[in-house]
Amino acid sequence: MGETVPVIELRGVSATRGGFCILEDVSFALGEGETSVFMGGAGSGKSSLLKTAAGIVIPDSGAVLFRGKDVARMTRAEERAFHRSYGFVFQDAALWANQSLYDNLALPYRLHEPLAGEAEVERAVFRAAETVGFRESLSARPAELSTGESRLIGLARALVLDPELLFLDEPAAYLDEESADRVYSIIDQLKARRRTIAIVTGSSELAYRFADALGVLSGGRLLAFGPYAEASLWQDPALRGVAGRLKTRKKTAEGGAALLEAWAAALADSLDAPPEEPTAEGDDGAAGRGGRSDEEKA
Amino acid sequence: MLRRIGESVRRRAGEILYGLGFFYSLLKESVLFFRRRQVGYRVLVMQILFTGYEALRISAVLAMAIGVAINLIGASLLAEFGQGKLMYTLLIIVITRELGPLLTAFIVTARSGTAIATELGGMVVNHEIEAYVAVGVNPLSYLGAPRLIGVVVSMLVLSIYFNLFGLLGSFAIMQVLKPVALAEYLRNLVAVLTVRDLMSGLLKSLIFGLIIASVSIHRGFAVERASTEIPVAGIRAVGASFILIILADAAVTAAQYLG
Amino acid sequence: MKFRIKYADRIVGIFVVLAALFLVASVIVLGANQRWFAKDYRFVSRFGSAAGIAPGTPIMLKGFQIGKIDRIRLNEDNEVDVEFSIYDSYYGKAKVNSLLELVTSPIGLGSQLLFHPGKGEEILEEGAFVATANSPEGEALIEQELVDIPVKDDTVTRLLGNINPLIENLNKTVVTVNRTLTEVNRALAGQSSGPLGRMIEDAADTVAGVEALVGGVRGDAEAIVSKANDLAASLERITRNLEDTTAALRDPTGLVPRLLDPKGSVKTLLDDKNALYNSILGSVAEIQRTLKNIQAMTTTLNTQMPTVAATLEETRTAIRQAQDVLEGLKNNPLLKGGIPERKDQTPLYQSLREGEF
Repeated sequence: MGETVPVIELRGVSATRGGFCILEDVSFALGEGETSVFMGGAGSGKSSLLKTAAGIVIPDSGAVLFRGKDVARMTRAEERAFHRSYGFVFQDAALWANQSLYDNLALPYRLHEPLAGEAEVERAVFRAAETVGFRESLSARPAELSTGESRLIGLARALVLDPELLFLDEPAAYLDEESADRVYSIIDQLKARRRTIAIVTGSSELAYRFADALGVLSGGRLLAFGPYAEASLWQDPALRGVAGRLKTRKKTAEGGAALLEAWAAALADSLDAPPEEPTAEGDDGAAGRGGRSDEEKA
Repeated sequence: MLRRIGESVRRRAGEILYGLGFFYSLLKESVLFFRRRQVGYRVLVMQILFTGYEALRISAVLAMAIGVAINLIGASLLAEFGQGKLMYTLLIIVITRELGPLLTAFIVTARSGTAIATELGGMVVNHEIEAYVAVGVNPLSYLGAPRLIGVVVSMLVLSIYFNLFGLLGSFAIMQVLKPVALAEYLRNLVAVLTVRDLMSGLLKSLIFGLIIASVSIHRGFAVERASTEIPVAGIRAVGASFILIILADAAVTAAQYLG
Repeated sequence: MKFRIKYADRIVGIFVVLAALFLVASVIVLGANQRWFAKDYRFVSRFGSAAGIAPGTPIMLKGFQIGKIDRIRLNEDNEVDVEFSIYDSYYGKAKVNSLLELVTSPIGLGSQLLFHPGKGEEILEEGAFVATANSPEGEALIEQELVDIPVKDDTVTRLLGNINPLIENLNKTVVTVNRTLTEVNRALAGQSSGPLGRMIEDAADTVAGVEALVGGVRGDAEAIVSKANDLAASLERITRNLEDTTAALRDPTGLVPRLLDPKGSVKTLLDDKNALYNSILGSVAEIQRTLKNIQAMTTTLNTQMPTVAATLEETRTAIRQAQDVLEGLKNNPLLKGGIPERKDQTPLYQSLREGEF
């Protein structure tokens, strides 16, 4: 994958918001069909990183490239193709409150498939809803949903066009176990279909399960980015502080390659991994603390 | 101290430039709105429904009250000078040209200006705008343009209704004071009404509509992330709209009387 | 809420379309009022000067605006080429031989551009030339009576119109008085012994009717002028006669022998309890009153008809002298210089001049 053009590449990207630096000189590349997981504490710039990569946040300096093309210099058609190519799941779902759930799901499809008939739109909408396991009426408004349900719809909206690239911001947060497992299986399916996926999370759970590449963020800087296998070798205490859970993984890696195989098996059968969710949340908090302590050190 | 002044001047200039750029792209998107087969049509309809139709009642009441007031003043004051006929000129000047567009603009600002600013602000805070961008929707064309067009259309339509109701109110009170046949009343009005008056009123409505919409949309999008910014955006939208409307009114009136 | 949204399109549609209809309707009404949709027929004319004509000047016919001046241009011969249009509803009035006439009010009331339709049947072709009334072509048309020029509706015309019957009556009176005075003169000269008294009484009757006849009737300005000239001539005659009479009566040498003659005219004159004398005196007073009326009217006329005014004044003076003579005659005809000296009032002609504006 090293020779091919990366799907998304960030080159020395810095961004500010409201006078505060949220990203500082970030560079990385997402290879075709790879799943990259970015970890970091609260306020480490995870979400901003993802939004910048998706062309939502405009960087102050540096460039974002989509298949080698600078996003800032795209023509209208190219820009359209770019937005068509990815789905973005927001941390807080970010559903359009003044439209019904159906319209929320239908809008991307209608926008990018203007020639599609209403029947086609409807099929795509129901397929997406079904994928995430949402079975309530789609005529409701987003305000009537629980947080977890909103997040499922948010994921469904990202999947409506079956994009080649997915940005997932804390895809499993606020979900009950059953829903979380469903999300994991969806990610697995996407991986199996060689979709390029970028996930940001505060928990190491997702990294364990899916990461081909791992990045660690702190204070707007990308401290490290590399293949997951190499991450186990990272010795920098700062990195370990941010990705606290990695220690365990490192230990397991030290314990033997067999354990890794066992993890892989667990990933394949994701329905059999119920006790992970609470731990993941605990880790989230730990990671957050780690991130903060990092900043204090700096 | 000097540096602070310099800094603030620089920031101000930057803001004004940004505002002008914003206004330009908003206007461009609005012009393109009709050419694009986008999903914003529904937003436009709802905007007109809310800004125009739902404001009709308060606008009508206000217009009739103004019409009655002018007639009462005209009947007592002008008759003293033996200039009773001037009443019609007064009606046209006040309702069609000056006060009609201004009062309509105030109503629209108070109702829709705040609504637009807070709604868009709320959308920013809920990351809805980012979601639109992510999907590939230009928020200016999808959210801004239909609101701008909706407000402008509503302003024009409301000011026409303001005329209608203002002149109706005046006619109604006339039936009590000294009855005049409707045909006679209309004839007198048409005699003093010029296309210039009509166009002047509509021009003002158009300009006021553009001001209200673009200021409110700008303030709404200016919200960054905190929900506490939302009411501030509403307040700023109203304040800035009022000031700009009054300045624009003075400018248009001056241009008409001088030019 | 659901209801409202379901019908949002329809409500908004009605809301907007109604307003648009109202706007279009009012613009159409206004447009009709300002003749946007009416066709105008254009013609050309030529004026000596652009004074009183400007683009937009209305063209009037009997008090109605039937068109307006569109464009004026000074041509190479220093004349003013004028393009004007006649509204389509009045196009039928634009007959062949029509004239334009610029009437300027002498007392500063602005000017009016009048249109006089020709008497022909044919309607003017669009773009045709319409002459002005004071151009040679126009005068020719008026002379041939191919065009109908009505009475001008301005103050001066009205004044003249009012004076006309007055003058006519005065004229009649003057003729009668003149005849009477001639008779008197002849009587005084001993040339006549006819029924003088009756004749004078006739004259008095005529004069009595003068006041009643004042007003109402309107005449032609030209007629008035000619009548005024006639009148001036008559008045001159009258004046001369009165002067003759007065001189004859004043002359003591001529008087005495005639007075001594028992069949003398003066005796006759003073017979019948002064009946004849009173009659003449009455007539003269009437004339004076009439003249006063004329004077009141002519105050606005001064420069227009100085001759008439001057003659009227002379007549007044003559009549006054006649009164004085008669008075003296009555008091004591034997007494030399029995006629009182009268203090002269400001002459009419002069007072008119003073009131110049």
